[in-house]
Amino acid sequence: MADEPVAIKKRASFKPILWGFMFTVAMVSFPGLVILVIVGMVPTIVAFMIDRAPKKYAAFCVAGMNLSGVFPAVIDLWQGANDIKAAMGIITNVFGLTVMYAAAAFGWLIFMAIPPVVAALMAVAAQQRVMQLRAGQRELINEWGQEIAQGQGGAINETGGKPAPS
Amino acid sequence: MAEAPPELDTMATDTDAAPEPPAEAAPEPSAEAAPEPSDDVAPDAGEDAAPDVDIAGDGLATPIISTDDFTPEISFPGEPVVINERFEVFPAKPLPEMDSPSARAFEAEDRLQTENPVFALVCMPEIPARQNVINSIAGDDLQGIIKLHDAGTVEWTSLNRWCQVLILERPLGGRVTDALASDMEEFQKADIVREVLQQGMEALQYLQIRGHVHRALRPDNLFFRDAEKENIILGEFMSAPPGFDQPLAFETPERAMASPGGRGRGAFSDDNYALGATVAFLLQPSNPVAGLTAEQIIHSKITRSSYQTLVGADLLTATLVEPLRGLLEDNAHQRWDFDSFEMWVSGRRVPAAQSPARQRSPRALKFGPFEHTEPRSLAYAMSLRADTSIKLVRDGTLETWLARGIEDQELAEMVTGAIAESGVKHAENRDADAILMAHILLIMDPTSPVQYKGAHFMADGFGSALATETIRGGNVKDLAEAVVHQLPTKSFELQVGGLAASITEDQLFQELRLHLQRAEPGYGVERCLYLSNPSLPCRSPLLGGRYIDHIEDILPALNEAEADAEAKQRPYDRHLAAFLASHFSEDLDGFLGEADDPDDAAAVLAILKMYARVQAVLQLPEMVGLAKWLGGLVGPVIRQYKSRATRRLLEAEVPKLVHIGWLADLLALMNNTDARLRDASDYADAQDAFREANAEIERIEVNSDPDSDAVQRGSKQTAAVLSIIIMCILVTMMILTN
Repeated sequence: MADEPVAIKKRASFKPILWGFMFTVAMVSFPGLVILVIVGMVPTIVAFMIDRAPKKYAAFCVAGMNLSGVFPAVIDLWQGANDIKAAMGIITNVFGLTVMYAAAAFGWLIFMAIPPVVAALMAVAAQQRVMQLRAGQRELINEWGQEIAQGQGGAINETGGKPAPS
Repeated sequence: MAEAPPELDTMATDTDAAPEPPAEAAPEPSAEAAPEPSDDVAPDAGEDAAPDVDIAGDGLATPIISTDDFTPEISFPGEPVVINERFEVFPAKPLPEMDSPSARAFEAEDRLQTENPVFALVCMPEIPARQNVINSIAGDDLQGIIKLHDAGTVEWTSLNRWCQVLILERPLGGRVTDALASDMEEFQKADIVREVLQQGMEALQYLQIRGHVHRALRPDNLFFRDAEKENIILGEFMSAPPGFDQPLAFETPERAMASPGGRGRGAFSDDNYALGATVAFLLQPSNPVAGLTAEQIIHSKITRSSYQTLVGADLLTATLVEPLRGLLEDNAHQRWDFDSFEMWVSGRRVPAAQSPARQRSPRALKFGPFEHTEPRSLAYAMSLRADTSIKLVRDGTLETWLARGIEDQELAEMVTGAIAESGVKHAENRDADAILMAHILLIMDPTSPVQYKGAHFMADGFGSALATETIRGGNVKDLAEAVVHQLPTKSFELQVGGLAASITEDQLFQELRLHLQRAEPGYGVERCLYLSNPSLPCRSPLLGGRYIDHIEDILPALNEAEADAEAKQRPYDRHLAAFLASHFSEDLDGFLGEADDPDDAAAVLAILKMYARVQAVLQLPEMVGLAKWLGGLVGPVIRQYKSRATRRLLEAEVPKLVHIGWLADLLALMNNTDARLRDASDYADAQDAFREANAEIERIEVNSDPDSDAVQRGSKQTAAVLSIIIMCILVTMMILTN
């Protein structure tokens, strides 16, 4: 147990180096692509920065849609000169940028609209399960009597479970 | 010698022979003050033991009980009652001339032999009949004894009770006393009395061979069997406990001291004594004890002897003086037996009784109405006056008198020892004085009855005393206390031969004592009642007054009684429990304890177990009524099962088994151990399942809130996943289109 924090510390120290190394390699190998992606994914970077949640669900929503908007430009870049100039051409194209950022905005829209719907669906499913359990308890009471529920919160009475005749 | 024989109408007088509770002792004797016996006086037997009847009498008074309930117009307006499908009893035709003190006579007819002269005696339900004698001699011809043709029990409608009915031969010559009261010549009367003695002794001898004592031999219980008045027979003796109906004069002094129910079975010599007293009365033109109180009669018998008390100078014939002297000998061992009588009849000389010299005090001690010179008479007087006699003991007067007056140091030391023993227990026992008095009375007169508070009984009369008091609703407590304090054992210890001579009797009392120390049903006084009276019918009110004296009939009687029973009433009470425990061949004590359980289910199950066992062991037939009765009470037993399905199943099965009437089946259904264990196990599983469901519901209710972390997390996660999926689809499509 005493060694565990040390191990975590060692792992944390390698990550930036690894990311930095990979970024350097990508920048050297595909400078146009890297510039395009960095500029195009600015909304995602912003989302990662402002999303305080540990799992970063908002950032992932934005990232998914943002990437969908960037991907056509990436294909154009790869099918074209695939250099910094070509990348700058795409970046300076307002229409192209609009597509990328609109896609990111759609990602935000998904993040705003979907959770309430999903929450409602989850509540309905929970009620169904509760009703199912209550029915099972009613059957137990019918079979074994009201005393089986004694000392267990009287949950049955609250939901209309009728005591069995004793 | 022209005077008529003494008035012998014992049916019409009521002077109790029993000694009364000392606190309410007899008043000073006064022949002038004593009221004359009256035909109108016939109080209930329950009052016989009360002090107020110990006022006066002629020694012929019989403890008669009320006959009002047997008024024929009320009893039987309808058809005759049939006994054992043979004898018809006509309740509307009473035969008062054939009444017994404890039974009423009615005309009867033998269906099989109409010329057979019979009559019926209907026994009072308040008095325990001698069932063992009835069972033994019914149908037998006993020489010199009235024949008991048959016996049975019937429901006497006016009483709404079941009564024992005795079918007896009808003496054609009437009572002997009626003949002696007629205008016949004195020599004829003397001949009749001589025949009474001769035939009476033969009858008693025959009865002895059968192993029975009569104990109801008195002048008005002698009959002429034939119309020619030649054969004399002794009347019935089974309608009441031994000695119960006897006037004081015909009881030995020690048995006369006991209450009527507690006089005991006695010995054959007691019958000889009664025959001697009977002959003495018949021989004299006037009542030799007329006007004397019970205390005076007994005192006279103790101090002067029975012979001198009962036999005067004016006799019909002097030829019977010798047998009278021998039969009325107060020492039972010296009393004439059949051999002595045969010697006298054959003309040989019978050796005279050699009674030891009595210890008498030259200085009389005045106590009560008499001055006493011997311990026995003083003891009897003290037994009637507890309050003053205890002072006599406490102030040392008694010890001094015994030591210096009687000059019996041993007796005085025994009294001193009893007082010292009582002093040790005085602080811890509030009855110490009563116990001490009873002990001292036994020391002073070892042949006397146990006399404790209001209980006066011979050791062999405890059963009938208890039965009499129980049936009358009398003083049972004093009888029970006497046994608890081991007074019968003290009595045995002080008698000739000591405790070793009465070890069997003492064992019974020790057993009774153990039962009295437990209070639950099946023990206590009721258990003692049936143990000491094996032929006594069960007195449970649940039997609806039915006369049940055999254990085989108990469950069938309950089976019948079910029709009138209340649904909530259990077919079980103290009398039923005690009767079963006393009569059943197996030990029921385990069931008795369970049947007293405050838990209804356990109690009902124990009763069911007990009755099922009795039914099986006695091989009794199916009993649908009793099964129905018990089946209606098994609700608590069924409710012991937790499973409603099992309960419904049992409730459906019970009626089916009830219709079969076999209690063991009902018990097997109710007392299935496997089913109980399975039910308990399933119940525990069900509790776990319920608990788990409850926990899950609580968890769901907490986590299904839209603001909850789980919902928030799940919904956002869903949105993220959806976004990724859309991205994947779009990217794939773009790759494919390019």
